[in-house]
Amino acid sequence: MNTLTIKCFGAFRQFGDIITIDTPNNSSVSQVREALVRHIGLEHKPLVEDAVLANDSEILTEAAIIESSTKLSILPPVCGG
Amino acid sequence: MRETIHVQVTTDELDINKAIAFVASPAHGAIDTFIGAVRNEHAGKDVTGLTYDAHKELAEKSFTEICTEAQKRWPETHYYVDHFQGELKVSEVSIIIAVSSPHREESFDACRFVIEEIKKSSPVWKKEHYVDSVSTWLPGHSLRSA
Repeated sequence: MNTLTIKCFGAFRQFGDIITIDTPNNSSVSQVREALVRHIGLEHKPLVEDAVLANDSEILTEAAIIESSTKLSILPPVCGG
Repeated sequence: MRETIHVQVTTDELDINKAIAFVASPAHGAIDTFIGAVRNEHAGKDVTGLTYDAHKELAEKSFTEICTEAQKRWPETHYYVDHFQGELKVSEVSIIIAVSSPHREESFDACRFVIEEIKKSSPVWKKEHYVDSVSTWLPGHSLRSA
């Protein structure tokens, strides 16, 4: 298992500045998304479904494999300006 | 060779004079600016302020990509984008954009393009604070469809 630390932004800050979850080794973004829903509750699934996961340089595709060293962030829908 | 694009997410007060000084050029006859400020009302609710959250690295990368794309569409233009991160009261400034160009039409069009793209695709969020002490993160554009 990998222990992943995910930095929270926007509406995800209701869960704290970071969320820590355990996922199987070589999990994809989709699998991390599912683990995140299990962790924060099914009622928050729409928020997770509308969000993307990113490292510090790019937004990750759904098929991307997450390693334990990846600095993950969860980005909800944006509304800057 | 001088830089023609400046972007920053900052906790410092934004300064329109810095923006104008950065984009100004002897070859440019037009400077268009956009200043976003906190409004005191939204959807019928009295707003007391906003908290801006941002993924600094990705937001600055996004601003750069947007300005670079604008520069392809409107060559010879210069760009300055500063976005505030933190808490603001009503009337305080959240974003400053300045675009300069040889003629006014490109500046107007490019400045509009930059603010609209930032709203759609840059990882920045805002939480509204209301007079009844309730606060809400505002909905926005999902980056899954970007």
